[in-house]
Amino acid sequence: MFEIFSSVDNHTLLLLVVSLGIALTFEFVNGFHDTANAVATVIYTKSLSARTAVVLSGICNFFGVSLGGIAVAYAIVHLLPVDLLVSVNTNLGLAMVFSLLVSAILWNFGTWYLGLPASSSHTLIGSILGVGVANAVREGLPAGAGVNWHKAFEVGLSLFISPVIGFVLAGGLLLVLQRMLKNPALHQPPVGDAPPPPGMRAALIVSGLGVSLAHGSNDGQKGVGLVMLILIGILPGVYALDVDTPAAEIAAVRQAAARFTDYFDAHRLEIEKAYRAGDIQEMPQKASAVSCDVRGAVAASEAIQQRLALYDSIAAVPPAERWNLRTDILCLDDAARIMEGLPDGSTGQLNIGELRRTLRRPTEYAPDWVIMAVSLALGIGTMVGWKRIVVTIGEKIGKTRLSYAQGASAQIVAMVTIGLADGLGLPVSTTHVLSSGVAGTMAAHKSGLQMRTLRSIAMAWVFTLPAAMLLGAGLFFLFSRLA
Amino acid sequence: MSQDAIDRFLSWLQADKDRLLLVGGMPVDELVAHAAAQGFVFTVEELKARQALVHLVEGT
Repeated sequence: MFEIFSSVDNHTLLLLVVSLGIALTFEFVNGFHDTANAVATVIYTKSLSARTAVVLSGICNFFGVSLGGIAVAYAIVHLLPVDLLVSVNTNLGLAMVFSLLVSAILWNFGTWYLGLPASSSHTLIGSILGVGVANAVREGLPAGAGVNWHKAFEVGLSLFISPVIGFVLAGGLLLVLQRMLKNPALHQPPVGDAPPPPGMRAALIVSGLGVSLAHGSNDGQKGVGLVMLILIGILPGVYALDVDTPAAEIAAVRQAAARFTDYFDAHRLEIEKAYRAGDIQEMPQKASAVSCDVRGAVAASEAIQQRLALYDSIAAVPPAERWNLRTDILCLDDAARIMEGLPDGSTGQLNIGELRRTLRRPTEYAPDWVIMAVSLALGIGTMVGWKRIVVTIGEKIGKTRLSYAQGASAQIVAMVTIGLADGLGLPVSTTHVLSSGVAGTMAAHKSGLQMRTLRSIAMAWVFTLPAAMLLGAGLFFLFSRLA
Repeated sequence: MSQDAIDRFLSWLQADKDRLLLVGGMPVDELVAHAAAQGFVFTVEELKARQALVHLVEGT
């Protein structure tokens, strides 16, 4: 890694260091923003001392980033349309990366400082959508063309449904625990200084650390996605493709490209028909260097095969050619995605989804040092966050109570829900999942519906998402003028 | 009896606006020392845990 950085000029190095610094700060802020969620229950119930809980939570967040894979990271990256992603090595691409980073961090830190409800996920996604829309407007395209709406719908659905799942399952689990656990003390808020009974204490500790692990795996991946955007944009020759892709996977990519060549060749008529019917949009003349088009899919797939036939590893591909190879892969993948969505379903016997995953493999990766840096930023942020909790004496602090069983139910459900989202490659708001879980247990316990939780979740949708979009779009217009 | 002590301290503060005004903006360690001087004994970490619980319930 250091050899790579020592070979770049001072200007690029400065740009790289500043960008990486901002991305890691975003992750650090995310860590201390969410500390309270991860450790509040275990410390409040005296299951662990504050120091032990915070250190263990930081460590679990650290390891969670490595355990989460990279599917969530690239779900975030692919919210941007492929045309913008393949232009990321230009000044426009850098303006995009800086706008995303600065708007996300400003909003995240600002809401934390002012004590306003916010979600890091909604902030980041709002910034990405804002930049995408602004780029489309700048290019003279309809605003809607600036976002990969298919992916945005998937991500939006996951952000919307996950708190509902948290609410219902945590409430249901509490009802089950109320039937199974007859000790009344488990269903009351903690009294005195004694820790909970051993079984419940173990459940609270394990589920609390599980929430931290899940938080690291989901929220950490958002930082990994941002860092990869930066690296690919600033050092495309080095990071455009995974140089460690095994030979067998390279062969699989060639095969996938060959099958796509046959597929697109065989569907020329259907493609032209879809263009005429308006099922595939004609690409208007654009100002950016590259644009992907379904009509160019055969050329892209043939170019991939030709390049990979010449080299037996990605490392052997000259750095100057790696960017073109990446562009061809992403353009072909996008064309295949469009074909998948055609109304007549003309995909035949081909498993397009599986072939697309194979094709994208060399482009969707993260070097170990990136995972390590993001893990450290998130882990340290979590540990620092506890020190930064500001106590505000008032009505709320006096009325807030939680029983052992409520805490355990909410944490177990949050841990499982976020873990499942990781498996499906979907970003979720860890804060919303956990808080709605607590609200679900309160509703099941007949302590009333937590309007404060509902208000916070609603605020993220009606306030944070549009605000981050506007901030991202505004900064993109500003930075793209300066670029 | 830390959480109970926090509850009683809050009730005591809320019973008199001047007491509430006095602690407004007070750093946590000073607040805990002030509470102890009035006979309400709890630690900084216990008070922070209660605040963290507010964040958790509110989703902030």
